[in-house]
Amino acid sequence: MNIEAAEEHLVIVSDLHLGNPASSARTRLVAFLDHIRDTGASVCINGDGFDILQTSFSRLAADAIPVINRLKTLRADGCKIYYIVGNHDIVLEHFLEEWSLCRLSPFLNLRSGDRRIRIEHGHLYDPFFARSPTLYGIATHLARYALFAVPDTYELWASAQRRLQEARRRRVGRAGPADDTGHRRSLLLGSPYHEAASMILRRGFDAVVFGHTHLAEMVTLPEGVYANSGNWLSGASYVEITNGELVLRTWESPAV
Amino acid sequence: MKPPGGRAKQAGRRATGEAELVAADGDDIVREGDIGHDMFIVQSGQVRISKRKAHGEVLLATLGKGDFFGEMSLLESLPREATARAVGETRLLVLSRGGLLFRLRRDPTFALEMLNHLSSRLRAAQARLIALEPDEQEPGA
Repeated sequence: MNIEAAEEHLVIVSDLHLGNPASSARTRLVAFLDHIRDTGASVCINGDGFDILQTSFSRLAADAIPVINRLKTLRADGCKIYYIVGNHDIVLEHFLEEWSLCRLSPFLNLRSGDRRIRIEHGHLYDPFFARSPTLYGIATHLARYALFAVPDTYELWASAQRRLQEARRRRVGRAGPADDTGHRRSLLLGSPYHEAASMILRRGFDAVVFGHTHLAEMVTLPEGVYANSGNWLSGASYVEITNGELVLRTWESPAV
Repeated sequence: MKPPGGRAKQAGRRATGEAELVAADGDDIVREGDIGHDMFIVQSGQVRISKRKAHGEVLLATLGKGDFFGEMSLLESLPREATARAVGETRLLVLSRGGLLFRLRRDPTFALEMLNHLSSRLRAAQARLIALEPDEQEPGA
């Protein structure tokens, strides 16, 4: 198990959910990986890259193959590819390990510039998952049928998540407007993910990057920086690390 | 510059069983042979780990941000195996047994990091032990 890495330029994406009926990631992701190839950055898929829980194998294969081919090209160019295991792809752990295309880890302790950065999917801090993993699994599995019947179900869920996050922000009144690097200032902790990041930051980390929530954000906590790389089901957000500096970005496909 | 060997002072413990400690350059965080039940994680700065030998002090390791030490005394209730001394101003997170248990519940990946670290150390110790074994004599040699 290799959990230590050093990179000066790394791009982190998460929650691609390739194969999921609600995921439109494939086309955008292929264009994005072509762009990354030009920058020479390494790539980290921070969990739930492939979605085995809410899809059929044929759908997963159709979505995954073009992305895998792009990742192979990147790797042939000498770029490193890291894959952090999430909750929708945990059963693929051994399969991905044997695949040898990427370096698989449960989490990554990254050194970049003079910074130490934790990259982790973050599902361990989801209160529902932590309290009742079996029930969480059943709910996720049942949601699969809703997604196959009405893919817009995901948008309803995502919109509810965004509203909850905004309500939490208003309640604790902690986060100011984001600056041009996507940072918000925070003095109080308003989410279990911020609390978890805070615990980890106290162990000598300068920043923590999670995925899982699908909500892209960058917050300065009292102990350091918390970022979430968001999702590619309907979004296109990513965290770019250059010499230890984190920036939250949104990929915009060039006009054809 | 003050002579090395002063004692670092620890701030009060939180309800979580964790505390923070700021050590000045040359301060001893723990001393070899002392009784101690806490472990330490380096938040910033550096820590020099050394052990007394007949011919003087031997440097075992220099630890940096994110590294930890003192877990052997915490886990086994045995005296400190080595001395840990701050290099420059050093901030540390101090964990008691209860603090470690609380952290493992809230920050479970720390358990994996500790096991990874202890496994590497065990592997290194085994390799050293094998290197000390005399080579088996070839029959008839």
